[in-house]
Amino acid sequence: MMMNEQKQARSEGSAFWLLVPAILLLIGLFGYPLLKVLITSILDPGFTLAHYLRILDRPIYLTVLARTVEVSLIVTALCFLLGYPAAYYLAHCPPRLRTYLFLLILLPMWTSLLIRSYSWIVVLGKNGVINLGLIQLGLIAEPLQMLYTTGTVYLAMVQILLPIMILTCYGVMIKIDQGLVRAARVLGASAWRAFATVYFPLSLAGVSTGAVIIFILAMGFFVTPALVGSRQDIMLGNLIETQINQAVNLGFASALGLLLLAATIAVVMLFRAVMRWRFSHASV
Amino acid sequence: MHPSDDPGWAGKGWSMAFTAYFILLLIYLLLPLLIVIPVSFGEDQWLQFPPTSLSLRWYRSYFSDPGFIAATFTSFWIACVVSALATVIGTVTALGLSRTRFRGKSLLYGFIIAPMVIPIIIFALALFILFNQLKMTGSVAGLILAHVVLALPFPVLIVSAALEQFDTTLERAGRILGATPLRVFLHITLPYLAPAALASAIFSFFVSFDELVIALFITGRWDTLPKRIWSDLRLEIDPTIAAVAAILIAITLIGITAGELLRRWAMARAAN
Amino acid sequence: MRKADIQTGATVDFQAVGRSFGKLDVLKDFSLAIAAGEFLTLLGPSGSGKTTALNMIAGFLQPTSGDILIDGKSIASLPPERRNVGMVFQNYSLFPHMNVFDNVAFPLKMRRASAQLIKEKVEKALELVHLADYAARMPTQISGGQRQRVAFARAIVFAPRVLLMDEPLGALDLKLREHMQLEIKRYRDEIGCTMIYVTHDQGEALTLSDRIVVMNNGRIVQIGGPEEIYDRPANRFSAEFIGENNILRLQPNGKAGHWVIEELKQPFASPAAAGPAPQALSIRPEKIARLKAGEARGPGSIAFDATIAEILFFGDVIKYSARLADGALIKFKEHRAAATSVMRVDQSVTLAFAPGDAVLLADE
Repeated sequence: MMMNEQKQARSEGSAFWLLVPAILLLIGLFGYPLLKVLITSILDPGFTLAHYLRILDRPIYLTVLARTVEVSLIVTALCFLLGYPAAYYLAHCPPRLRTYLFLLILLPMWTSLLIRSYSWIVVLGKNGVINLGLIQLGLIAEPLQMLYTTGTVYLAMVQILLPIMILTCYGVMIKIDQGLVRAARVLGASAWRAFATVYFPLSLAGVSTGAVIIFILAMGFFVTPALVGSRQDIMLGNLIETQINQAVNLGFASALGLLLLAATIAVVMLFRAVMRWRFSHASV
Repeated sequence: MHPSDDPGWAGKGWSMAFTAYFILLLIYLLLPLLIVIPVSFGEDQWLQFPPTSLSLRWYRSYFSDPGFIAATFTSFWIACVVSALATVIGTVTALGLSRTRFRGKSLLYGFIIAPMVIPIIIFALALFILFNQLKMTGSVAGLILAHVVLALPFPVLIVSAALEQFDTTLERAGRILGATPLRVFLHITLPYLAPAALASAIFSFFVSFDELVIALFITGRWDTLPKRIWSDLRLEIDPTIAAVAAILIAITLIGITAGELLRRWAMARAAN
Repeated sequence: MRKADIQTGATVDFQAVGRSFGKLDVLKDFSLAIAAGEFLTLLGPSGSGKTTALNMIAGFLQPTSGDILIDGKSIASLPPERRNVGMVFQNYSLFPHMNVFDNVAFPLKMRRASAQLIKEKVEKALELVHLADYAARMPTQISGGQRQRVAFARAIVFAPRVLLMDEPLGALDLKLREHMQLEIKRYRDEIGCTMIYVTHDQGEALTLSDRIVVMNNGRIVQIGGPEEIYDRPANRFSAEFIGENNILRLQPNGKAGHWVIEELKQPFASPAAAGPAPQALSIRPEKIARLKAGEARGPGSIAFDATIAEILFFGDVIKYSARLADGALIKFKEHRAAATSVMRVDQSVTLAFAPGDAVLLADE
């Protein structure tokens, strides 16, 4: 009855118009332009599939696409492996300490992506902190080539995206009722089994949210690979940027953009299907 | 949750290992950023750590470069406008979402959050095509609106979370005690939302201030600070960037700490 | 605050008020005349419509049919802020960003009172609730009982002629609740406004009210003073909802005013039976006495044998549940005088009650 009364009281004043500015803004500057990308990719000026055929024509594009997906998946997996224990630690440390640790995770997350990529140049470059240090210590004579390698791309991308995984997992973990874990222990589960059968499945929602966000963001990366990667490490984002800023081929750039979007959505949907399948078979 | 609520699979050794792991992870996340700061005070043309002698050479170089300063000002005032617009629109939207019930509401919610989770390069490409068609390339208003769309998820999420904890009987209490709906909003709802809105404003500011990709595509000739840093990084790496980076890191540290503490305060106050 | 400061209470009239949410009728044909200055309690389980009735006086809900009058004038078109009604909410609803003073001053500010007048009135109101020293505290810095008193001061500071209270003690623990009941009694003696109190706690209702309106499923079940409600429940719902009661089934035995009590297999007669044919009788546990060995039963009293099935020891009182010959249970209560010893389970007893203490109930 209380519910009904609240519903009633709320609907008595219409607040729908409050949503109008955001809806207009999103349609005008988000929905409509995305539709334009689709249209641009198939009109030149009449209907054409030329841009898509061009993608298929030269192996470079599909190779780059495959690498983009591969890099994004590996980065996502690394973020999970590194971030999950950290989130657990954060969720279960004393609350006073937690506030500070939380801020230490937030700081890198909110620092400009450019600055974070740049900081790796300072650390790993030919004249970077590590090389100079090693040379001064006499351990090496010539600087090591650490910058502009695939490894550095992973190092930097994981560092940039990791806080997201930590925060999404933390958000779910903090809400898990510890009584459930204790109940499992009292009912005879070992520490490990209580974790595997009770805690981990409950925290999976945070993992999957974090993984999806990180994967999507990783797919669109181009700043970091351009700054710290080698020529072989370019991602689809870099190709799109080149098409816009150098070749100015809007139709082709749009086709590449849609390819990127389609690949992203496909992987995310596959991931979700797998998660759902895991859940529905978990009890067997 | 309380520390004593530890479910107990972490023995003493485990908990030490955990702490060590967390510290290592923090070093990984933070050390590159922290190293930039001493490097920025170096004297040498080449990056050096620790710097052989301390100087403000690269800070002078930054402050005496009119291009850099102009780009910084441009980014700053654009970020301020974006922050104000995103906060107002986001707060209004969160209020609207909390007070309406309709089919497809979660769809709208997803739509509002989408700019945050779509690959940004695609969003930038879409805006480039739109502005190209509207002959608006290089328009400041265009960049501002684009940044508002990008920042909007933050105010909507933060204010919605605060509103979820808001006891609507407070508004009823205000009405029965003699306040009109407008005065209830001004005297009760708005002061309640103020910390959350302020936190939103800070986060929105940084979304715009640090944003590179959209600016790169749609601003045409003029520079924002990230654009300028980007072009410098691609040409030649001058330690002036280290000075800029150190300044930005310091600003981010202060701003994000303030924003996060405000957000926490907003939530903690609601819990009472 | 002295009585002279306060306007006298207003009358509140519900005229055939109905309210539905979609298909659900939460209030049906609700008519009630509340006298000026009366302390009236709406008592019922959740879903009985009592809160709905209160929210319609406040203006948070509109009646779907009927009308509500304050002092004879319809308030249907007035928004809450123009009804001049005070209200105390269950979870205090103090504004978290204002200190105690500003919370209490809020209704006066909304009425554009002068700063001087605000100060005077707030101080008086805080004095009334014994919180004069707490004006500068924030709501988070005072206890639950104190918050409730601030909420009370805030609701009466602008001298409303009607004060609504929605389960105001619901969030407090038992000890504090009893203390606050005494406080509310004191307030009502000092300020003369009409008070309408909503609760599901029959103890509160009996302690505080001039009149109690027992509600169930959106309808009025019984209206009466606390004694009347307790001693003469009008129907089975009232009998079971208020206090503890034994309900025994009646079978007519042919003659008007004569029945057989099914569980006891004993005749029962009542000359006063009018209205709908009674189906049951109720008898309070404290009205059932145990006959000591050899003690004669009172003239006309109904006596029966039973075995003790359960014992609840309360210190001053012992509550027993005894099994009758046919297997049904009957509750009775003994005050512990010096000589009474606690009985044992399975002990056989003879119980008795006076027919005059039993109340005839039509099935409801």
